[in-house]
Amino acid sequence: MRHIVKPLFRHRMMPLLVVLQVALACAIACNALFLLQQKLVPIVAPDGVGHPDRLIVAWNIASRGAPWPTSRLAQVVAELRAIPGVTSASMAGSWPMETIAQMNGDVVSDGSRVSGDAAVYIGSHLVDTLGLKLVAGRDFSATEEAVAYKNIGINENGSTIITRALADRLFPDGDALGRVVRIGKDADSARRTVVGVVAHLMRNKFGQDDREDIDYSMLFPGIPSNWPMPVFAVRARSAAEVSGALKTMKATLKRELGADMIQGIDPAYEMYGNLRERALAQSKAAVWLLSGVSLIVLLVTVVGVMGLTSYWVQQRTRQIGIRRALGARRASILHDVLLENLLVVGTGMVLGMVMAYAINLWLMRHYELPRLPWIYLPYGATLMLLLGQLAVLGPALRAAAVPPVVATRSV
Amino acid sequence: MVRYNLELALRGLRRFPRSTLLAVLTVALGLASSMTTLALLHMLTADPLPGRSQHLYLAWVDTVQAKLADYPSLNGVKVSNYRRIKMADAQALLQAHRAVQQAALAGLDADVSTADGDHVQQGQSLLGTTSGFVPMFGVALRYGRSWSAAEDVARAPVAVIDVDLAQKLFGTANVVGRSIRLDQTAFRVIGVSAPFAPQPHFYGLDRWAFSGSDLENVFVPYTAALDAGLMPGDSDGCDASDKKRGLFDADPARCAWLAYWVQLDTPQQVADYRGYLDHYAEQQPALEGRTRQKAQLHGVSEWLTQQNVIPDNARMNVWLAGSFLLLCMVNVAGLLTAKFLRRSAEIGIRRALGAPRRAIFAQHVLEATVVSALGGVLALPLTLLGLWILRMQDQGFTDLARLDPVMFGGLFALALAVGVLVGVLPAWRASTVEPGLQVKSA
Repeated sequence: MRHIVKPLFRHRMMPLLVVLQVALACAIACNALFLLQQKLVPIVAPDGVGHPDRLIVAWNIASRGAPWPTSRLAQVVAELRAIPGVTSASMAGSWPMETIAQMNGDVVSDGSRVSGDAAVYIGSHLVDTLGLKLVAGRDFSATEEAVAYKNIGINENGSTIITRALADRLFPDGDALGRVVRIGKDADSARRTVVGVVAHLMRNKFGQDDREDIDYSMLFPGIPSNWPMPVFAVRARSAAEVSGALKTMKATLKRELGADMIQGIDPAYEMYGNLRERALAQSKAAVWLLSGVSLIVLLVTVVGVMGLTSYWVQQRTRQIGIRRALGARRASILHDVLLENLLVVGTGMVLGMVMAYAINLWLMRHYELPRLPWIYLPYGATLMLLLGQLAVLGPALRAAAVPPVVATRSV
Repeated sequence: MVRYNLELALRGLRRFPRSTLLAVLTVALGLASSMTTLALLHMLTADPLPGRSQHLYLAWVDTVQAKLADYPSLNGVKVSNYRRIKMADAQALLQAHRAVQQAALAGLDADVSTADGDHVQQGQSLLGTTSGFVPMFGVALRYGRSWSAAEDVARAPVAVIDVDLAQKLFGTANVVGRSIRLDQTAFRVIGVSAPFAPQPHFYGLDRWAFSGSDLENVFVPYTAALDAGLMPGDSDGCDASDKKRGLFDADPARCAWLAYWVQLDTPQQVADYRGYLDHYAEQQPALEGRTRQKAQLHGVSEWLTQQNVIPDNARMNVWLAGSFLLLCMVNVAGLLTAKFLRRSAEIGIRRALGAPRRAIFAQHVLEATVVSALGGVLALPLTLLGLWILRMQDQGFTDLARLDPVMFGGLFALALAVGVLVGVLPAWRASTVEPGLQVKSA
């Protein structure tokens, strides 16, 4: 070991530059990959919606003056459901992948007092229209769907269907069915009984979600009252029946509500699949950018380490020749060069980890960014060490190939 | 001497073209990424109205009665706060005419069509304002005139439209005297302006902050717009007695929906106006006994800072790219050290022949600078590519990612600075080569 460490201190500049490079690359790559992972979450997480190519969503519908009464909205929904080729129709306060209106609330499990921040979707027949997969319990009953809210419905008692992720979070001991959740931290908050659990349903707020809470959503039955921006959606029986259903849907909404809409704000109609594409376009672009940056950072580092080590090896050709002449085997030369690289890169990496963490702390203070999970550090470290070894492999093999006879020549 | 050094430097660079190319490429990547993000930030932080914005102030008096912080039916949807005021206050302030120039304004939406309805532009952004806007904000008029204070009072249905809209509707630029319809109501075009799109859109942050595509292309007296049924979209809160209306439908008489901008040229005028606003707020019988702030005056840059219009992303990208540039610099410093020390023997001979350390140092710094300058040349197309990628990101503000002459010069200044910085360490190392040792072993 001594014969590896000592020369590093004698010629400080080369190893120092490698250490600095690795540390910087490590700090940048860790933070860039962390940002990347954040942007990746909504793209890879399942949204729970079945057959996105059969679900038509109409939004950007704003009422002039007072919001439409629920009886009127219920009648519109009934007409939408009667369209030939439509299996289910809904009116809701907000919609997955549609971020103009978002409803989020702190939900607390009654009893265990575990809480979580969840998206709330209030609307009629949402399980059928969204095509959600029930994994436990039942869909809302007709009586529950017929509820008359005094207001939008967030602060009212009743029943709810939640996602499996939220159920696991609020009721870690198991069965969530029949249990009660409070919507809000106050003691007098509304209480809702869980009647069903669905596999997935993505919330419609992107940004700082991590892998877990992007799937924290709840459904409330019935038509929200006193809500100025209703969303309508219909599910067609098959992809072939979509265009017919869309045409009739447009005509129906225009006929029923068109006269009371705010001038200049036109309803938007889109397939849920396209809505999803559009909502995720920014995240996708950012993913490309960040992965490009990370890749270039790593590439530059590998090339840099390679260049420095190959010079460093070349400088010592004579010493290597002497060692070979004195009986060192090729394998041990190779081993030494690799070990030396491991030491240098390892030092840089430790420094890099500290820097990565410091940068993250700074970013957290100045920008809304969550803490870098420590799990990134060992991954980043392993990656760096592997890349370091890869970079040095070429020069190391060249060093091992130095013939002993070099020692007798003057270089 | 410089020529000799330059010649040596170029010869040195040509000797190992592969490592030179690598160094140049690395510098180019680092420079291009930094310049791309800096250029975007530069555009975002630019003065929206050079020469004017430092004299513009947003005046605010809070006379909304019993404003609610949240809409009761929405969990956590906040009432926006863009420091807008109620119409009655705007009229009173206009009447008093205490600033050099003043205007009340609000963004509106309407379908704009020719009088015969043959050509329609749907969902255009309008600015409902008063006669002071066009002169105070320096909207350039191509034809015709803007309206007068008397026409404000008379609620005259007149409009100033921009030249692009004139082309789209009428196929010609000079459309003064013709008639357009805003939704259903006819307005007479009295002026045609150049497109007016300051970035950021500081006087209407409730609509958008940065956009390459959105702009108000019709200016009308807000009084006439109200008569035409164009209603403000949202507001900074309404008097509590106004419960029946919806979230997106503010009652113009009871809600705070007009931004009130004034021009004040000297610090004295600013102080006077501030005093006047405070006095105005004190005199409002409805505000008696209220302790929270009643009146305020914001300068443009202060207002932009307070509203946090520069997206965090843009700043974070600069940090990311800056640290990447640092990495590239360390990398190139390493490459150059190796390159220089490979010719230790040659340096030794020069030293033995009498070249001072200074000369060796200067030659190698120059060589590093040449590498960096070449990197800078290569970085230009890479920066343009980077800006193109940014524009593809489609986040509103990214539309503005362009390279202006200042940044173009900045790129080369940065390249030279990087060259010197990167060269210092390797050149110093090269200049410490002992002549004796090298001459002996060579």
